Amino acid sequence: MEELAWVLVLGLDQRPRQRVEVTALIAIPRRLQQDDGSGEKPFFVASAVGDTIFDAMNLLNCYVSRRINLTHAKAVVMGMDTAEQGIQVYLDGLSRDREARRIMSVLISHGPAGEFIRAIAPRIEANPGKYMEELIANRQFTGFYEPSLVHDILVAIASPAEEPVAIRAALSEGPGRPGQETAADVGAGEVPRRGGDPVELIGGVVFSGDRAVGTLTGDEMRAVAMVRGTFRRASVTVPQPGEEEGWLALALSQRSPPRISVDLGSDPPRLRTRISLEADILMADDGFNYSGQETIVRLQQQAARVLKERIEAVVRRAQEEFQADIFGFGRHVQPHFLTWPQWQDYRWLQRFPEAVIEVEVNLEIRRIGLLFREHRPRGAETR
Amino acid sequence: MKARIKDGNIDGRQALALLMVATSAKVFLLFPRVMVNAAATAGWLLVLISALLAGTLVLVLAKLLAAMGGDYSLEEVAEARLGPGGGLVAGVTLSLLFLADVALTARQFSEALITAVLPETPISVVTAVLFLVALYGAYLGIEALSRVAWLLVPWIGMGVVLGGVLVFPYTRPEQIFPLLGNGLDVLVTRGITGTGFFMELLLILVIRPFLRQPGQTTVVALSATALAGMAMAGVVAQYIMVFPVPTADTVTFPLLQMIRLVFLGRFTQRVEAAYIFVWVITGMLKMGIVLYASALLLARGLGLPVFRPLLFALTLLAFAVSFVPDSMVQAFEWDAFTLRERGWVVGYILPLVLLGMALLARGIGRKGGRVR
Repeated sequence: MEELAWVLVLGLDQRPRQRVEVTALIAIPRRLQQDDGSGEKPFFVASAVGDTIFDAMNLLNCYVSRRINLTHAKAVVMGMDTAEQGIQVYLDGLSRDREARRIMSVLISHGPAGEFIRAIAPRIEANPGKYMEELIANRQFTGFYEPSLVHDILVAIASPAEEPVAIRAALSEGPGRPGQETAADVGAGEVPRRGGDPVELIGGVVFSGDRAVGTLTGDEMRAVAMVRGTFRRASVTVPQPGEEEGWLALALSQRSPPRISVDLGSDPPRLRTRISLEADILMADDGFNYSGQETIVRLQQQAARVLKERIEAVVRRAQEEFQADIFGFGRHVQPHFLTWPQWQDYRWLQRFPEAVIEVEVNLEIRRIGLLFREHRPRGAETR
Repeated sequence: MKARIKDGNIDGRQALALLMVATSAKVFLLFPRVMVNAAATAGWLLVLISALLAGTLVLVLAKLLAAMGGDYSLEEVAEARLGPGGGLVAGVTLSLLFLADVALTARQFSEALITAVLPETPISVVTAVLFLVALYGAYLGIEALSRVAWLLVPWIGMGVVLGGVLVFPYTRPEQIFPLLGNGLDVLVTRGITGTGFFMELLLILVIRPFLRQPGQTTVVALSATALAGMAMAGVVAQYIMVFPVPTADTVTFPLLQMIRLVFLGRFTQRVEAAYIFVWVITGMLKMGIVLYASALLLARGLGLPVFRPLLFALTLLAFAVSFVPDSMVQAFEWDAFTLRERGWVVGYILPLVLLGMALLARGIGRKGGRVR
């Protein structure tokens, strides 16, 4: 234990001549256990360029006294430039190694991975490994990205049924995104904000095979999750019904896995996706009186319509722009074949862009929270 | 017939546990990957087909043996009916087959241990430890081996089931489709050659004299086939649901990789340390059982009154043979593609021929149609 340097976050950036720059965020166990009052971070960042990941790790040990060890690595970060060149060779290398685990999360950073890792500066957590673990786990209540373990990515890279989508990461730049519809319709690096840790995770990076081909925003990733059936619970905002501008905030959860029916008899193939959601009302800008079931129905129809449009828009992007089945529709097509060669010969991933995909969203508002009706200022008219 | 080798008595349940450990220990090695490589998504079905065919062959052999009467083993019947030559052929051939099994199992378990947890320990040390424990078990004899097996089987089973539960978050049932995998023709042809993976069931024909009720031979053989077959098919099915085709074909030690995925919060992770302990014990027990059978077969084939002195020589021989493969890959290839997929001809056909000939060889060492 005392002879090892525990890497908590690993960064990989491709360099010329097929070399790789490895950046390692390494824990200083003494400072993790007890704050020594020096005010210094309980970790340091070191990097080296090598012919392979393991060569670079050996070179790191030219100036890191303890032996570099990946047993506790929580995440592997790769720069977008590297991801566009292909990531399979790196993930294969890591999954062959007994120290690294397939349950490490894969993050694709907007800039070089080295820069991203150097900027990590957790405030609440002293332990950067725990910080990264918790930041990634936040998807359970934000839905801004999908689980993207080394295992998930490697399975999807080789699969004839789906394409990988990894977590989108970046350093905060805060400009927002031109043409964004909702506040969450942004990717990492675009969240308008001030203060806090400089790194942010939101959105997804879409792959075709092992090469990155595009990015999705936080809202788009929620739509992807709803189709994949991995959406858990998140506060989702949709425009309120009616002509006045305003927002309706819902605590949304997936009632049951989506039901996807497949018709391979037609050419192109047709898929019908039925998504069932449940919602609690969190807030409505113009203070609807929720007490009436008629209003509830109106709200849920509006929310279902907006979410359906969002999902259809992402499906269109996936089909037309990325030509990548990031939803895993292929996994529902697969059981319609009797043998593996028949399924492979069908070449689903090539047919996906032409497939007719219908989306149906069923949303039920179940609860209205602790407020039965809005507080009305004196003299205000009931809407 | 010469003096028979005596070595304690076991009941049907203990024999069943013995066969199950000897047959199914290979699921901890590359077996699930081999099945997926052969039959793709139908790897689990291939296991069931191979088990069914192997069980049928063992059942036929057990019935033939029972028809000879008494509590005799395969080599004893061969010797009694076909003369010393018959016993020699049966004993030596099957002994060598099982010795090769021990050697290749030892090498693969050693490689798994070194890959997973002991990267800096010399392979000779790891293999030597495995062989020493196996030798000790085989030396103690059938009662010790079978009782340990009887004691361990429920725990091994629970461990495997618990492993399946722990990787549930990664399990996608739809990955088991298409149901017929690489096709019906592949399932039939590879199902036949796959019977080699169940050759350890033949041990029942060797340990038959030690059964308290030799009449249970058929029941034990059938139960072992069914239970081992279902357990092994279950593991392969779970593997395919976690590591779908074609990824399933990329993993060296499937069960180890599955368990390495376990992460149920900060305090339930890295559970493979416990699993490796179970796997190594299972591997050593399997080696002990097969080593024991190999020595017993050789002793009977050569007409020796005792088998224990042979254990030391056979252990040394198997230890040496385990280092003949140049690499882990070659050890795996020799096991999967030579010993199993071709060895079944020797393992099943030779006993069938010998017992068939023994049935036909009337008047040789028989009285009233029974072996004396």
